[in-house]
Amino acid sequence: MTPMDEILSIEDLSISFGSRKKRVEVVSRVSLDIKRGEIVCLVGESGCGKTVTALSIMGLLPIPPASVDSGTIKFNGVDLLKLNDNQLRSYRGNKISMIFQEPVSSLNPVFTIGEQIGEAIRTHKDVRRAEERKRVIELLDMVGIPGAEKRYNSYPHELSGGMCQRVMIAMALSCDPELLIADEPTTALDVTIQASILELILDLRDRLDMAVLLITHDLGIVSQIGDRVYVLYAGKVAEQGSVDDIFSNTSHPYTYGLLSSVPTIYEKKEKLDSIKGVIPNPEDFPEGCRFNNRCGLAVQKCFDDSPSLFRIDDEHYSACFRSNEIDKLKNE
Amino acid sequence: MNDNKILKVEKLKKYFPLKTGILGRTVNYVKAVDSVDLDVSGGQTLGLVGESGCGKTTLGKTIIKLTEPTDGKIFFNNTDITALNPSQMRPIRRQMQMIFQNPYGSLNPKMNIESIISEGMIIHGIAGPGERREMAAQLLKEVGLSETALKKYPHEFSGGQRQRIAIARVLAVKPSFVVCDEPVSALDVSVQAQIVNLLRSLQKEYDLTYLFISHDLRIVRQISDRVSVMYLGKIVENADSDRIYQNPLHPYTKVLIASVPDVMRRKKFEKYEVKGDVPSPIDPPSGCSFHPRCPLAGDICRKEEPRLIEKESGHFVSCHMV
Repeated sequence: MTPMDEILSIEDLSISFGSRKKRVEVVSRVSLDIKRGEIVCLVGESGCGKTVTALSIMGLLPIPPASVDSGTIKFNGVDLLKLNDNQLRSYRGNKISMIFQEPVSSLNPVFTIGEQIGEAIRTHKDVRRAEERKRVIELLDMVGIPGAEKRYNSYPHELSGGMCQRVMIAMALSCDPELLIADEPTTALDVTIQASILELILDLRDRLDMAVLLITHDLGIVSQIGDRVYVLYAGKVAEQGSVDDIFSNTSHPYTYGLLSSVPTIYEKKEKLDSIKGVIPNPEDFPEGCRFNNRCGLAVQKCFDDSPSLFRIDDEHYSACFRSNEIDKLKNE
Repeated sequence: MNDNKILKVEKLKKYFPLKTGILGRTVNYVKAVDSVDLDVSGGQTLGLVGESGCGKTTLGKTIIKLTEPTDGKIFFNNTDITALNPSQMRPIRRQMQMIFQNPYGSLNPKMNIESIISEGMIIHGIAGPGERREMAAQLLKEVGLSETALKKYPHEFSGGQRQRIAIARVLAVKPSFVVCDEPVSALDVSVQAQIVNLLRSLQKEYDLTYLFISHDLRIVRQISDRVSVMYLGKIVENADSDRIYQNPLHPYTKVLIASVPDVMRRKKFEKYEVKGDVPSPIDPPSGCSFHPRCPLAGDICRKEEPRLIEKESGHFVSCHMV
């Protein structure tokens, strides 16, 4: 891979929320990169900073109360954090687009879906009405909406949740984005619909060579479509690597805990493994390693020092002092 | 054999009328639950799976008579409870409880945890005023929370903790049968596992019987002894949990299982077979209601409705093509 392939590169990103008196850091020195045509998954429990990271790429953070305290977000070499609103607008929805968890509430109920997708095209491109309509129907067809021509005039309430998510994807694709950010795109959908939406994302990646940042809390989904994974805990990257690294050579106790708490349909376990306790609130993140109070391997060092990411091999990194002792957790 | 069936449901129907115009003429019905037969043995868990809109929740609510059934019979401990009026229902309702999906909506934000847990005890006259507090504290420990929670309010707890409180509230009235309606869907995976473990250990301790409603087949696998698959208001397959996961017979069950993103089945789904969404229960397709989405559908499926029959011992399925 040459650096040219790198489409998005986040370095040392820190984000905090709060008033001037009291600030709480929710994302701490996160670095992340995505290459062309790659599906990168951002995984973690709710409250770990996944969505805030994604919103910062899109320039959608509510500033204030949020503020970006350090770091760069480079998209094709341009630091998005340095751009003003106008400049950012030419990226947002154009080169970078995003789909959300609740497809039904992401759409405007009083406009037809054709009108809404058309608006996205009109905003970024100079097209004639007829051309725009043609493109919308093409997009609806591409995301697998049957009878695209007829559906052009449908309102969101006439469509099911799965269909609305397809409309959102069509809208996101309207300007041939180089990066698609998908924030829990299937959490609100049924399993069969989830499977078809994930297939669609895979298929679009293959056809359009688009990069995807997929945010999810379900490692099952990661195992199906991910290329590379970043596991986030309490605003920090705990472990990163290829899907194979993460699943076969797990090197962080948090990843291990997440993986073993995912139930499987292949066996009924006597007792489901779980991670004890819950993710702390950002104002109570512990000193040292932030996972120390829930970790089965924690030693004194973990309470004194904060581990930084170190390389395990090739693309595989872990932020744990005891990453080569994960096997000990299996016997517990 | 019928004796240890704590719950038995026969030809249960729940239709919601669709009304129109100022005269409120009934033009059609939503057949949310359409002729369902079901039974659960004491101390066991029946998993009920299906996509949203298939009638799972309505079935759960109808069974404990939170909504009145349109037709059919419900037997609880061999007593017909279908026609009981609310005051006759009250002593029975103590034994039949429900845990809801959304722990943020199911606890009254204006009540502290002690009143939330004691309310049921007061209504059913379970403990005197002096004992209630002690019992509530005991129950909190039972579900893994500390006694200090008694004076707190729901907003001070996370989703998982709230679900634990909801479970303590249910246990307070000493039920024998609990409908768990998607109790873990709103929670993180690691917390899901904690709650499932808790439900399982409480089941052993109190000899509880569960009807566990969920759309997540992975969770249902972990808790159920038997599983019923529901589609458009009807049960399409019903068998022991092991059997249904290892050898599903109905094409819909097969599709559901194939769609599960499972960490043990790495990379790519098995070929995804069904098209489209669940049709509207207002005007369900003719014949077998799954036929428009079914990869195996033949002529007979369009015309004739299949019945739920025993294909193998203890394994019921309603499909012409099996």
